[in-house]
Amino acid sequence: MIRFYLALFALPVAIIVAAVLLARLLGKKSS
Amino acid sequence: MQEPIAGGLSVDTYAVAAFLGYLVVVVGIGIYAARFSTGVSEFFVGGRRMHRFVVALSAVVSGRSAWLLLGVTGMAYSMGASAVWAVTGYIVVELFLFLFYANRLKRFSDAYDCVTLPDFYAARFGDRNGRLRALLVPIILVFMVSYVSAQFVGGGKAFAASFALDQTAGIVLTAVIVLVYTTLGGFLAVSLTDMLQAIFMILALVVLPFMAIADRGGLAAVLNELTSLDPTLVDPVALSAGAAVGFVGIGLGSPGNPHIIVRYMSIREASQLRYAAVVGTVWNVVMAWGALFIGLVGRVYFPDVGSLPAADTENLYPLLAQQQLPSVLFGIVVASIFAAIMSTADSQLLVAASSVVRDLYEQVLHRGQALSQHRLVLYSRIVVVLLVGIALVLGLLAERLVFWLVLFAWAGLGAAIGPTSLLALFWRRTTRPGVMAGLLTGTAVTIVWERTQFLEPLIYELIPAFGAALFATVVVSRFTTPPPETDEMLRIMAGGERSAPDEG
Repeated sequence: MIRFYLALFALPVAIIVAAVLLARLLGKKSS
Repeated sequence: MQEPIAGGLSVDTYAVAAFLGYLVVVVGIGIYAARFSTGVSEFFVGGRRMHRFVVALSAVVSGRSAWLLLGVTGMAYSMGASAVWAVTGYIVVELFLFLFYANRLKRFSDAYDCVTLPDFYAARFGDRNGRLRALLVPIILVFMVSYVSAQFVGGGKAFAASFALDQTAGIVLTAVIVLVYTTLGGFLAVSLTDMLQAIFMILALVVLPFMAIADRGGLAAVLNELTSLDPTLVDPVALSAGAAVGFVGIGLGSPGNPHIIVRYMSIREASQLRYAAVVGTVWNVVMAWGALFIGLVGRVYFPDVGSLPAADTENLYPLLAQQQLPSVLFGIVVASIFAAIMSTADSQLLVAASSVVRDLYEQVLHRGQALSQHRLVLYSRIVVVLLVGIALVLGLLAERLVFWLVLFAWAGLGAAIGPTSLLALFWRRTTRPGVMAGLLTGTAVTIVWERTQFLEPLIYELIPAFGAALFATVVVSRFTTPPPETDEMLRIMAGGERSAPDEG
């Protein structure tokens, strides 16, 4: 069941967090 | 109030009213946007001045046809949590496209006044004799028109299932609605309606699983029921490695589908793509996981596939919505299916029309001539009408051919345009002959792989075709010479200013 929670809950959150962090990182790099 | 209709669904007046209200708004947007279509750049790429929020949503929903609402929900219904890999691939790929691919394409498009994807290739590789453009146009045209046709057929089926309409009437109605706002308002109308459609889709995909899970006693109860039905339904790794790779590989299609890529060119400034990346990813994730949960909870409600209309897992979404939601919300769910269909069809239609008017008529047949923008917009509108007519005739008379072509569309375009555009943006050694070899190889391998009995079950054809096109482009480029202005082009892509005008 842990795999279910990881794939159905942790994975989407991780993707969104990665998007925010990457966007901020690239913003800092370009400024 | 409720009338039972074909396929086991029923619909009432409030649902119809909600759906009709949605259609009126969509057509109203087309009428509003018409005044802004002053030239081909405005008609096909919004003058490259689109708002970042609109671009984020438009890019995301243009790539998600009814496959997300009906296909992914059905997939999660039948295979359980493993379906998560079918959505993860494209979401991650599109995040990277927004952040790393789109900004380079956008800067180049601004510097070289690119309106279409063939414009980008032609400028990037100095395609003065028009051969590269002439190779791209039929690939884009054939796949896009058959895609549009398939969307119309999908719309017709959805109409038939939801409103007891004849399927032919449904197909014509879907085509007419898309035709009206796309012809009038061009890219702006298509993008604004995409935004509205994105809101409908996310609303339906969030509300439905929440209500259905709550009604069943909460997530823990749903998971218990799923486990007792079949423990593999709650195991996200209960699939073969080949299937997992194939699922994730679906994402390789995103950088090759021009109706998605052109959205990146349309944003006001390259720097705004970072914002679009976050908004687009949030939207993609919420919609996808909503679809997954609908499939999972749907399995609890209907453990036997025979209890779904026509025993088809693709009917789960509207059936569950009809059982779980009040009429108005059910109307929104029905609207969301059309939203998914129309948001894809309209974008594909414009890309196909741009290939004819911008690439073929303006840049090949009348190259170097000053043409009236007003007249080009008029021609664009006429071409949109003609293409809708062709897509409609294909959908009505040659449905099998359409679905045969569409089978290859996502993978074929992904394998042909994906690797070549990536190399054109990131690898300075890329040459025009290399790209032409890649385009041909990607298309050919997709078709051959899918049609070869012993290859087809091995892995999703897009993955080997993508690899083969990448290989062909690199090898041929190694033996040929890149355009002399390559360094400056790559400098512009990286954010530098253009130093000298170029004819390409």
